[in-house]
Amino acid sequence: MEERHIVYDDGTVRQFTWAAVIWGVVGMSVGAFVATQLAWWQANFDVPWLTFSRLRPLHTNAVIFAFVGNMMFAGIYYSTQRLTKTRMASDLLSKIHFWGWQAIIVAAAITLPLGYTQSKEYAELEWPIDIAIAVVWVIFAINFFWTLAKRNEKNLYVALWFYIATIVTVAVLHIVNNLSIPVGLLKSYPIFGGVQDALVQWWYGHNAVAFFLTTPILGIMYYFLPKAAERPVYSYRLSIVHFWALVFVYIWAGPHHLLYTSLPDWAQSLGMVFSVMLWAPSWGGMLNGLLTLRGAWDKLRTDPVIKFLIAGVTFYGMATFEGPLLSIKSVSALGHYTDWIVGHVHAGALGWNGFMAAGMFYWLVPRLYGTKLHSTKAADAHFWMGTAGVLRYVVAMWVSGISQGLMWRAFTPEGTLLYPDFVETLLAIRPLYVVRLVGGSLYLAGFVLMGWNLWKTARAGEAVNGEVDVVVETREKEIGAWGLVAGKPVFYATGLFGLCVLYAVTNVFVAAAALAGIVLVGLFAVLTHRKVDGRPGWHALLEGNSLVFTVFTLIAILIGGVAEILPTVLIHDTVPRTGTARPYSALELAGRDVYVAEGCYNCHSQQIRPFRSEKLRYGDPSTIDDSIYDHPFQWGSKRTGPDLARVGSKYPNLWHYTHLLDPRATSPGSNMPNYPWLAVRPTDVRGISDKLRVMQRLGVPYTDAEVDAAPQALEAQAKAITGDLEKSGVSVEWDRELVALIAYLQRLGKTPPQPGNAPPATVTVMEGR
Amino acid sequence: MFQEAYRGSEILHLPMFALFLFIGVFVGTLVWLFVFQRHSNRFARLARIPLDAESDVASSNRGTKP
Repeated sequence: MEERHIVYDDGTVRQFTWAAVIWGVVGMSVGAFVATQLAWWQANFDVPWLTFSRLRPLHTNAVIFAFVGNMMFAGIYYSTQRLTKTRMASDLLSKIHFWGWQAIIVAAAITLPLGYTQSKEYAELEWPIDIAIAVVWVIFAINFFWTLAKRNEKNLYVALWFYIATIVTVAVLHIVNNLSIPVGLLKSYPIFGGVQDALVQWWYGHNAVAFFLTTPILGIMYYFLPKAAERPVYSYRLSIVHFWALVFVYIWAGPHHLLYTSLPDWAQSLGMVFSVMLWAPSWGGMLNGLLTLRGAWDKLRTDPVIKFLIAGVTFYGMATFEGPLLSIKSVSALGHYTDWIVGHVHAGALGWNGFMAAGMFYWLVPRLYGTKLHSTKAADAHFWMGTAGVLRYVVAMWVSGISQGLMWRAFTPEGTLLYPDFVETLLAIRPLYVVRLVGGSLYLAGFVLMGWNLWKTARAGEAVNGEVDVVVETREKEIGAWGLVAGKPVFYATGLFGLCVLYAVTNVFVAAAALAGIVLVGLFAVLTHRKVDGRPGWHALLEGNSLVFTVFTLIAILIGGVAEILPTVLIHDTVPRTGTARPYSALELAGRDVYVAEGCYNCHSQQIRPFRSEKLRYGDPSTIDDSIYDHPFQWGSKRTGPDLARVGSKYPNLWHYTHLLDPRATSPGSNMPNYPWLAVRPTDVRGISDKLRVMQRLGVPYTDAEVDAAPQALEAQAKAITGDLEKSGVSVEWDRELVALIAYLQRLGKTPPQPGNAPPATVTVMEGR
Repeated sequence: MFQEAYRGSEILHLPMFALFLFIGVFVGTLVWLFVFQRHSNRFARLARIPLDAESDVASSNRGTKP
């Protein structure tokens, strides 16, 4: 036996806490600003870096990675030290983690409004920042696992499992989804294209919600809720089921973002089935959290910490009921692309993440400064402002989304669209955009009140670090590295993984044998465990060994990721590219880069679903071939404006010119921003060959001659467009971004024939080819 | 073209296999927890780790390592 005195590193916890509060205010303020722009387009001010399509990614990134990121790091640093009864392994790594993360946030806040984006939702940041994120994340992981390795508590408490799952899975998601080839300091093309890119992106996008916004916060719930309620978690057994079911099932659910798209049906069905299955573990976790308060429900009336945590868990239950519901194909048919999704996301972000953060901060800050909360009344006021705000927001978006979804599919008795003009459906929901702004602003005001309350609390006290005296049982025999990797769990895991591989590469009979083998391995494990009394069981062994636990968690998430993505990725090499798809011309590619940089995907989808209403409104349903050469894909996830998949040749060049400079001149009532700078800014003509060359490396069938002659081809096609515009009395220089963007838009949904084989599909597109 | 290719892909057994693997592990975990471990007191002790983890002692020696 040995007695040790531990002083925790709470300085890092304080830093992350204040960073979360500050970035929370910033991120939500940007959110309120972009909500204002949706209600009143004039709030775009015709300034590029203040435009909705550029600021919306800043809002999402700031709230997810800056606010929730810093909040979860504060919770992880605080609880990990207490649960392992040891100080963080390295103060230096903690400092690098904190300052590195803030530098990344600042870099995002500068580059996104300037239009440097990959256009993949929640993964918009360009490649140098992506590398920085990976480095800082690895530093965090080293510090965390090093701390686990030197811990003074034998068992890993359930909160730590969720942290492990977060660290491992976010690393895998971030690296795979950001694989790209740079074409400049702040420009790259992802290695995946079209349907593959869509699947990988939404595998990432959904699991960013799962493993960045959910699992770490569940870990925080499992630590801070028992602390605040002063009673243990309701059922530790349930937490085991909750954890393993959640990490395995969540990773599969990404394709529910792509229902009724050109993604293969099997992948859509898989995503839907696993999404519905998520109901069970999610609600198991929610009930485990709520029932932790059994016998102490009276605290809900008096303790603001409990109020926020319980309301947060309740919102978690609501959001995780609504998510699987929206994943059912028939419900998705109505809700997808509408504000219903926005409402769902904000129920989770404001209700679950925001309230859990507030509960944790109100509990944490008084203890970090050795004092009491400055004002319980202010915290109560914050709670009611927040609750009223988020409910107002969510209900407004429900009504807006369902209304718009119904209007899009409404028919006249004669069978034509009842609302053929898209703007009609937008005007109908505009009042709800104002209600949303009021709700969001109310929530933000409550959050600012919390910041003031916490600041006054900190000023009243003094920064203190927690201490603890622990009696450590001296191990008779240290487990060596070999002992760690040669344990039964690794043996079983390796066996299972081997069988998985065997299954994947062979036929159905071997598969049946493999499944039987897995059952036998499981039986052997149980029987072995039952024979030896006094030995720790399977899960006890896992809980005592962070390395093995991490390996198992990694296997659990990789099975889902590999099984779902591998068939789609491998198909790339087995299907000959002899279809009708043709690569973009140099000018169209340049215009596509403008489309990406301006963030048009934030409001316009490029994926027509196989519904009669969509065929009438937009044209034939989208196919895989339509976007096969799209690096990155531009399917989008929201229709604030109409789908553009087949907008090519629908309008003359003059219409696009007018529409981009003043959308209301062609579409009265539109809330689209003006883009006057597009007529001024030059297209990158000199760099176009490099872009085509990178595309060539990615598998887009450009010939070397096309790559070398790209600048000349670009100029020829651009001059054809400006010549067409001049006939209408409009003068614009050929090398402006506006011309390139018009070329790209005119190409959408139009597949030009092989050069020289047939007449051009559109005058504009083909004159330059 | 691609739809047909996907339908004919042998590798689509992989998701089916993973689905059954998950169901097997899930059921196995439930059985283990609620049948084999139903009388175990170990979980009650583990659940109390957050409550036992810290004393009320606090110091003002900022960032000092023990």
